[in-house]
Amino acid sequence: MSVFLQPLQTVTVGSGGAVAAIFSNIPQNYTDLYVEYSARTTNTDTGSSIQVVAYQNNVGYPDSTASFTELNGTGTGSASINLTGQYLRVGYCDTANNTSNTFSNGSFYIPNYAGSNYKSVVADAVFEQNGTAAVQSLIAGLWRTTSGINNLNIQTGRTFAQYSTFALYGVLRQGI
Amino acid sequence: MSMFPIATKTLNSATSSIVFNNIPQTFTHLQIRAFGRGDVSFSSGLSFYVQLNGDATAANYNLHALFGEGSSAYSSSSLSTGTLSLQQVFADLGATTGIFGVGICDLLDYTNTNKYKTARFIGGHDNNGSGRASFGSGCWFSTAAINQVTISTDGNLVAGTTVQLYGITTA
Repeated sequence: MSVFLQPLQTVTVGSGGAVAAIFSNIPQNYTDLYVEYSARTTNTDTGSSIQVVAYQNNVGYPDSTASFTELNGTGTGSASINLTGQYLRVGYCDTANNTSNTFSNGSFYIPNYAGSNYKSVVADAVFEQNGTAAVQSLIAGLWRTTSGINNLNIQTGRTFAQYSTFALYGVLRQGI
Repeated sequence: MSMFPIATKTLNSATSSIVFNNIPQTFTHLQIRAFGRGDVSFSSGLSFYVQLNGDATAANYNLHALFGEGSSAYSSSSLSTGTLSLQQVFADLGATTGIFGVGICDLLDYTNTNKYKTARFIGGHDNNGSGRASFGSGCWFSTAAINQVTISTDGNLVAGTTVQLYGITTA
């Protein structure tokens, strides 16, 4: 197998909730990074879902280096949007208004995260509920930074609920 | 290495379903990779069905999906589906001989008994100029740990269909 997926760090949210999942001191010796998350928030002020965003290298909102283009389906329609200079969206997750025990399922991939080129990101994520509306999002993102990524901060602006999980992997690509 | 092959099944003849039993409970996530084709005709392609723990209760499942068919994108949802699924993934009887569709299904935290199980699907097929790209989700409204998955499509899965089950760890 030419792709090596190495678990690096895991965040599991405890009973008190967490405002962010943070991966720090990310080793710089892999080729790519891959993140998988299963998340839900405790808030009720944003409807049934809330966006999940990622920041790099301790840059917070607004992140002038970030931009993304998204294609999404909502169960009844489809749309595409883009946004620049604020944050990099990596999906959506359920809120406390949503069906109990239901968590989102998402991932994003950052190739060449340690290199000196700008950092491209691709994300695919879904949030579910027992109803017609749910969002499936495919996102192409960019961080216009030439620094290696050694810190990732994943948040919603609200609080992640207990049992939310985030896993960071390092990927090694090898020649044939 | 954190991604482990649990089982692979390749069909030598048409079969209604592929079942993986006694799934180890020692991984964090599951991934199903399918290369499939069915034996009934439906021009937009056939569904990639994933049923869990033998539960066929309609109200326990739903699906949502986003599709592209070459000229436009559209979205759909279905409730009480009796199975997880992503539609329009596998090639149908009318597709050119030798063409199969591809689908991937990720099931995170499959042993966590505090969560309903949300599936994330991606897949599609191309029939040399026509086809579908599909991305979707589904939820199994059960907190039970997943110990069995059953893969099927509309009609039978044909010979050559291959399904692989992987376990992914986080440590």
